[in-house]
Order: sequence, then structure tokens, then C-alpha cells
Amino acid sequence: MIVKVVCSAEYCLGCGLCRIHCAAGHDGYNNSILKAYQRGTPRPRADLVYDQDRSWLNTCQHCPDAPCMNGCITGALQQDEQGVIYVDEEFCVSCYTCIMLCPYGHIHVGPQAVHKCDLCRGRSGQPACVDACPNGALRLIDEGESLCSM
Amino acid sequence: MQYVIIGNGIAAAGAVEGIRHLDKEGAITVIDGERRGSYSRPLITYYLTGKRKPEQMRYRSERFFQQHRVKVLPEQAVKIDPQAGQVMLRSGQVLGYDRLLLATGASPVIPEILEKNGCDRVKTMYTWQDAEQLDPLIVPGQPAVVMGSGLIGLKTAEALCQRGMQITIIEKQPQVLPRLLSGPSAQLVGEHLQNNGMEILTSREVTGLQEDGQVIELDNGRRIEAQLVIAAVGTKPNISLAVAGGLAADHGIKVDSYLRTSVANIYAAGDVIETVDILSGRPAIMALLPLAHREGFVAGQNMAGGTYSYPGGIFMNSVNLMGMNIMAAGTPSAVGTTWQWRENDQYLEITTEGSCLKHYIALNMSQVAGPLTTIIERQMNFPESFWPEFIRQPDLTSLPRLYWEELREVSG
Amino acid sequence: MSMNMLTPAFTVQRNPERCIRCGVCINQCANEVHHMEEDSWMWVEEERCVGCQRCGVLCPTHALTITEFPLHFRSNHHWSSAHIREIYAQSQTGGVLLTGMGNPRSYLSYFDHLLLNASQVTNPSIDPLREPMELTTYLGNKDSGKPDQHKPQLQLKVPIMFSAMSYGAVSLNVQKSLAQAAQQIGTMWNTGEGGLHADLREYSAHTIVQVASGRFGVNPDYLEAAAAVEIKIGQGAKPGIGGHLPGEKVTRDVAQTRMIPAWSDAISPAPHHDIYSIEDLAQLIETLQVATRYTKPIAVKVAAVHNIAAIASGIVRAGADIVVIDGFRGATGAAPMRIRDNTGIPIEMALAQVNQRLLDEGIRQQASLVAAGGIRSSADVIKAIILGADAVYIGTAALIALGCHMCQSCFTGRCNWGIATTDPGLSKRLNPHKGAVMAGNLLTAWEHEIKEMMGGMGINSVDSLRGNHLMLRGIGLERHELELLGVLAAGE
Repeated sequence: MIVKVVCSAEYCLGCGLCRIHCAAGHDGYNNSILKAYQRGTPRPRADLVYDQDRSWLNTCQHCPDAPCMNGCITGALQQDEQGVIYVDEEFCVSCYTCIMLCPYGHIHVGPQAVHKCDLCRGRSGQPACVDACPNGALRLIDEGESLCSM
Repeated sequence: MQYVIIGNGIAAAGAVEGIRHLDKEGAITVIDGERRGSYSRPLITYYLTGKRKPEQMRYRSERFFQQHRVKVLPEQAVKIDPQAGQVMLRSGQVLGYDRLLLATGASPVIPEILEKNGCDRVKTMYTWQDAEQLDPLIVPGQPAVVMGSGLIGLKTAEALCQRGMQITIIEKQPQVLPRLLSGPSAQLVGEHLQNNGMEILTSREVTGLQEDGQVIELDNGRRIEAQLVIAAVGTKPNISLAVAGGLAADHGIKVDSYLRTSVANIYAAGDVIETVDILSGRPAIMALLPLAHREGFVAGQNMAGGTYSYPGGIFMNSVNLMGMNIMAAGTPSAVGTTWQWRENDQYLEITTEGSCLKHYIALNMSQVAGPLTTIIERQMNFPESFWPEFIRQPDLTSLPRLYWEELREVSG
Repeated sequence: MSMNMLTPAFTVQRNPERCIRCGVCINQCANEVHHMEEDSWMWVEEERCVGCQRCGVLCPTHALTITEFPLHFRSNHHWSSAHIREIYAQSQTGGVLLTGMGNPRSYLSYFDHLLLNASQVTNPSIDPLREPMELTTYLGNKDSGKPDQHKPQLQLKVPIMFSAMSYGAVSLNVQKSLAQAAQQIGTMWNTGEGGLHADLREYSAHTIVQVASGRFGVNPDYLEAAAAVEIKIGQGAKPGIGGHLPGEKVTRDVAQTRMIPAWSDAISPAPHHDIYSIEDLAQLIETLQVATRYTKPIAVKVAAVHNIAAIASGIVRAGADIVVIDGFRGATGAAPMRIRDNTGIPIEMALAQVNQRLLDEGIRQQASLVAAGGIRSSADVIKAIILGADAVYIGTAALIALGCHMCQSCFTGRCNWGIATTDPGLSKRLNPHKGAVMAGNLLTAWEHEIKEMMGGMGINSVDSLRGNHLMLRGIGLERHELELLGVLAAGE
């Protein structure tokens, strides 16, 4: 079961709205952008990567046999039945082995634990970034497809 | 099919996953010599500081063993009999096996000075039990000496420092983390630790222990008082069971690329084996947690009938010390061109041979480390002109398009 | 010493309580209006704002308000502030005022003075959810003269097509969106005078290609890859003058499609230099019919001007299968403002007159009539059909569906919505997959509304609507206007 958000570099505008809605949709901000950005510390889970005239959102690939999950020293990184790889923050000790192992450089340092895309588990509907993209560059897929169509 | 695994650490857990990947039915028995359940060894220093409570020490939960239908025996294996296909336990119980995995890990090296005048005040920090026994001995405000500035030594020193002790670290080599860092990076790390209250003495050796270990003598004549002394000068694989059983072993148990030992139906994985550093192509003991899990997994699959090969690994480490993140991967002894980048508290050093990246050291630079690790592992080729450009602004955007395309090829 | 007497056209207000300094306004404004300093202090250059609302729409916290800059002159009905500002601009530059999109001036929109009938008591309404409503329309010459032969027809599932907008005036992604939507809905789109890009060949069955005075992109493949061919004599936005695509918009791809050199201005002359009389037009029509082996309808598009009825009659007699009339509200990517705002006549008038003249002359069945020029809603569509059109073209409405905010800056090539631009960095802002859905949704919505209105009138086929003037009443119109439109006044 392969699930992930893929980004089309052809249509990504690099506007960053995906990251804004990602941050607002996590950490208890309850989708309020103002709460996250005016009064909180917003932490978007994925970065925008640029390459000359193109850009794309560097999402988690939720790899089967993920190196991050296999290398985690506490088993805090797990894969659920849907195939989503998520961090059980109670068990993460911030050793950053997962960050060192991720080929995409996706995982981030967070205040209590590492942060990564959790495909918006616990949110109904599409992941926040997919909904937010004004140009339809992000798509949720659940079968084998490539990282991003370049 | 009877599977027996000696050891209940990282490789053992990986092996359970590997076996069950191909064989849902066979019986799996894990011999848990430490009798602690599956726990993650790097967490023992967090146990000391209270950052991890006992219920947070686990590596794999009880539910993991239940779901995979594994029987865990809190026993010690004392002998293996390959002819009979049996393992003898200390209790006298005898287990028959069809496939056996030795995942016995390693143990601390005891420094010569201790072997000569062994004393109780000098402790090693390797097992959870060691941490439990050390706990009541920690007195805030009192001096402690740590012999060795490897990962275990420094993490222990960090814990003791956080518990309020005055730390002095004695390191034989001219720098801290001698097997991990280069000169410049070791200097930065050493400064950071010193700024956080540790005294670090490099190029120094302990030559004597006086008054039952309460006073340490150094080779330059200096005497240091110590309420506690930790010896963290290295580890060595636990190969005694294997050697007694007739398996080929050097510093570690010898295995082929399928993780088979020299004896039929016996496999080995984890810190106990001699594996291959794929960068140099030479045998090496690579006691690293991610590799242990991988080795266990592949060995498990092969025990269950698979033919998966494990080519070896690369050295890699990520550790946080007093708020500084240190990551390094590749061949520390790489010779080639070294490039450095520094901004505020971030430092990156990369070594290339021709167009191949061989090694990197990153201080507080975690974001770009993952792709660099992958580039080293896959020995990806970039044009020589790439690296001097990259080092001027080392971030994800500076990675070339062909890196992302290569990933895409592999991940489909 | 110089002084710019013009204040900015728009003012940009940022609500500090809502602004989160995300920078989306900065990276989305092609005119570089928004700026942020290193310490996160934000400021604007209002002179550069064209009022396209891109930043206002995309701001995640709706912190931006873009409004017209209040430069209030003393009240004067004759000298409007627009006239005054335009003179300032011309006195400073000596140039012709350029503009984009359609005539915005407050001339009467006759559609807004026409009301539809509805059934009450007798001739009962029809429920479109229960009864089939026929909107299928065939465009072409219905008068073959022989019982078992018919001239080539275009089949439309709805009587609405996407109007001519050339690649160069709009981006390729706009054309991809419209072509795909046309294919999905079962109607046509028009290439405009910029040729047909290779990527659009797959939509041949739904493509009308244009042969305009510059003959851009016209070659045998072009004619083959079309369902119909349209000779463009003129367009409602700029009757009597030709087209002008500024060199900055002529990228290599545009140049290749048009078969001209890159980065040079693409000028279409005012007349076709081989059409100086109605007989010349007949000759060109026949040439195209022969070239397409009489398998495709040939259309002729003209702007609605004085004597349009006589012109239309001549075009039909010249052999055109479809006559397209573009009223004075028609839009453009670039035109001199004075021509766009002061030339031509409303489509409602033109349509009523042309339809009546062709009926009077007994030649109405020889060509289909297509109306264009500022069709804004399904109500306008129905009214146009009642006034005599077989179908309508929509241009502006289609672009608005794709995101156009009517800022009239098309001629700069810096369209922030990725519509009226050929800049690749801006064109990518319109994802054609999304665009096709939006344009298709518009047609689907209008289709449903038309069926509702028809049902309300007790009519179940668009054929019964066509030219059925009794279904309209005028309101607030003078007697002569009612006569020209051929409708009675409300109450009559």
C-alpha cells in the first residue's frame, strides 16, 4: 500500500501556501492560520525545493521499508495500516538518526521530537497541502508512482 | 521450522521482522540474556537523566512479540552445539533449532589499568543494568572522570553533567571522538562541550588509580579527585559462544554476504559480526544501530528461505551532545579534497575523491545530511565542479537535478 | 524637471493584524508591487499595481484590500476622471493609449433590458429533470437544394462555443484548458489567429481554425486538423483595424506556431489584402472549401458595425456556412482604447437586424448565425438565441472562469493569472487540468440554467427558441429600440 502526496514541478508555483496550511493543520492550531502564524510557532512539515525555474514540495514518500523507520533507535517511527509513516512523539528522543537516513532530506528537527509529514492523519478529507494548492500541483496518490513529475 | 535467536537487541528484532516477512508459521524463540526485554541501548544515558522512564526504554513493545508470535526466554545461552542443532541454556534447558541467529552484541573493553588494579569505583556504562547501578552513585557537585571520548563516553559524560557532577574527560588521542571527527570539527565539538562545563584533556592517559579509585593519576603527573570513574574506552564483540561452537571469527564473527556463518544453519547479525565497509571494501566491525537492524532483517529473511544479500554498510552516526547535533557518515580515513562551510553554529565538512563523496561531518546541519548519506551509500557520481559550488550554499536546493532524478528512478 | 500627474490607479492596504509575512503576495505579483525587508518589514509600490487581485485572492489570511486609488476631481459629468487621467498619460508619453479586454463604458447593455417569458396556466412549463430538453445544435448550411445530400455541419451538445483567442494573446495553457473542456462537453473552441500548436492536434474534432489577415500558421495541416475553418474579417473589439501582438510576447514557441520570426511584432493588416470585394470573399470561401474537399463548414467572422445586415446578407450569398457577428463588447488582448470603446454596435441590435434581413431575403437557412461580444451568463445566451442566433461564442466569460480578474493589462504580457501571457513562469499559473474542469463546469452550469429557463417557458428544444421574439419583452427601452430589436415592451 503506497500512499503519499506527489508534487508536479510543472505546475508548482513555489508560492508556499501548502506549507502555511500544513503548519496551521498541525500542533493544535486547528487549521487557524492566524493562530499558527500570529501567536504560535508554525512548523510546516515539508520544504519547498528550487531548481532553476522549477520548484516542488519535498514531501515524505512514506517509503515501504523506509530507512528512517528501520534506523529509528526507539521504534518511535512507525507505519500504520494505510502505509503512513508517522512519529510517536512520546518515544522520539531527538537523536536525528532518521534525518541522517532520509534520502529526501524530508524530516525536520522539532522542539520535542522530529517532525515529518503524517499525511494529515486525523484530518478528514484530503491532506491540507493538497487542498491549499491554488494550481492543482499536489495530489494524494495511493499506488506506485514517482516522487515528482519533473 | 524452529528459529532460535540468541540476543534480544536490535538485530534480534530485525530478524523477527525478517523471518515473519517470509514465514508466518515457524516457531521463533528469543533468548534474552539481559532479561530486560527488548530495549534500546542508546537510551540508557537518558534513563540516568530521567528523560526516559522505564516504560519508555523499550525498542520493540510486548505487543510486537505477541503479534509476531515470538517466545521470549529470560535466559542465558551458555553453549551451542551445531552438530546436534542445539543451544544449551544456563538453567540446563536445551533448545533444538533448525535455524540459529547469533545476535549477541558486544561488551565494553576494560582498560588495562583496571585489569591490573580492578576496583569497584570504576564503572562501565553499557547495559541498562549498568545505568541502574550507577544511578544512586551520582552525587551532584561531586567530580566524575570519564575515560574515553567516544560516543558512549561523551553521552555518559553529558548525563552526569546534567545531573550536576563536575566532569573531566580523559582521551588518549589528540581530539574528542577520534574515530568520528576530523581535527577542525573535533575542535568545535570540544569547545562546545567545554563551554557547557566539561573539562576535556586530550592526549592524556590514565596511569594510576589511587585510594580505591578516588584519585586518578595522569601520564603528566596530574592527580584528579573523582567520586566516580567511568571507563568507556571501546567495545568488543561477544564472540565467545561462537568460537566455542567452532564458528570462524576474527575480531567479530565472520559472515558471508547472506549473513551466514561458517557453520550451516547458523547466521549472525549486529554488533557481534565482522561486516564490510562498502566504501573501502574491507572487513570491519560496524557497530551501528541502523546496520544492526538491517543485518537482522536480511538474516531473518534468509533464515526463512530467502536469498537476500547484504553488501555491508557505511559508517554513520547521529548524536546530540549538550544541544549540539553531530552527524557523520562515510569513510573517516578518506583521502581526497576536503571542503568546509561554516555559519554561526553550523559547520559542514565534506571529503571527495574525484567526483565521489566519501565522507561528511555536519554540526547542527541536519537538513542536508540525509541526501549526503544517500550520495555516499550509492556512490553517486557528480561532475567534479559540483562540490565547490555546493559547499558555498549547502542546502537541498543546491543539490543537482540529477540527484532527484536518480531517486525517482529507484523509488519508481 | 518632470512631474508625474498621475497618482497610482490602485491602492494596496495591508491589515497588520492579519498579515503573517508569508510572502505569497511577493512571489505571486508579476508587477513587483509587494516587498519585504530583511527585518520582515513590508512595503508596497502602488504605482505598479494593475488591480488584478491575485495577491488579494491568494493571501491566506485575506489581509490585503486592493481598491481604486481615490484621486477625486471636482464632480464633472463631461470631464470624467478617466478622461482627465488619460490626457495626463498622453501628455507625458505622446503615445496611443492601449488596453485589453472589452469595452467597459456605460453604454446600454440591451440584454439587461430584455425579459423572458414564463408559462402560466396555458402552455404549461416543462420540468427539465423529468423531460428531455434538446440543446443539440447544428451549425452549417441547412439548404442543400437536394433531398439526400447535406452540406457539412458542426454538432454542438450545447449552443455555446469558446471564442477565438490566439496563442500569443493567451497562453498555451488557456488553449489546452478550453480545448479539453470543449472535447469533454461536446462543443468547439477556436484557435484565433495564432495558428494551431502541435500539442492541441488531439482536439481536432472540436477545433475551429481561423484564417485571419496575417494568415498566421495557415498551412494544409492546419486546415486538416480542424472541424471548421473561420475567415476572420474583423472582431468586435477593434473593427476596421488589424491585430498587434507585441514582440515581447512572441516567444520561440509562439513564433513557430505562427510561422514567423521570434521576438518580432506580429502585425495582422487591417484588410485581408486579397479581399477587396464581396466577390473576393466568395473566392476565398470556395478556395477553402476546395482545400478541405467540402468536408468542413466555412465560417466568416465580422464585427458588428453599421449596415451589418447588408454585410451579413452578402457573406451568406458569398457561400459562407456560418456567419459570426462580434458585438462591440467583444474583448481583445491589445487594442487602442479609443477604437475599442467607440467603434461598432451592440450584438443584440446586430443580431436582430441580421436575422430579420436573412429571413426577409429567404436565405436564413443557408448559414448559421453565431453571436459574440460580451455574453455574460446563460440568460444572455438564451436572449441571443431568441434574437436569432444559432449559437454563441464566449471569450471573456471563459477567461473569467479560468481566473481572469478583468484588470485590462493583457497587452503588457504580465498577466498574473497565467492567462494573457506567454511568459513560461507566468503561464504555469494556469494548470490546464484544472482549467479544463473550470471551463467545463461553466458550460455545464449554463447548460442546466438554460434548460431551467426553457422549461419555464414551456419550450423543450432550442430550435423552438431560435428567433422566437415573442418570448422576449423590452423594459426601459425607447419605441425605436424595441422596433429594431423586434420585441414588444413589457406589458404589451
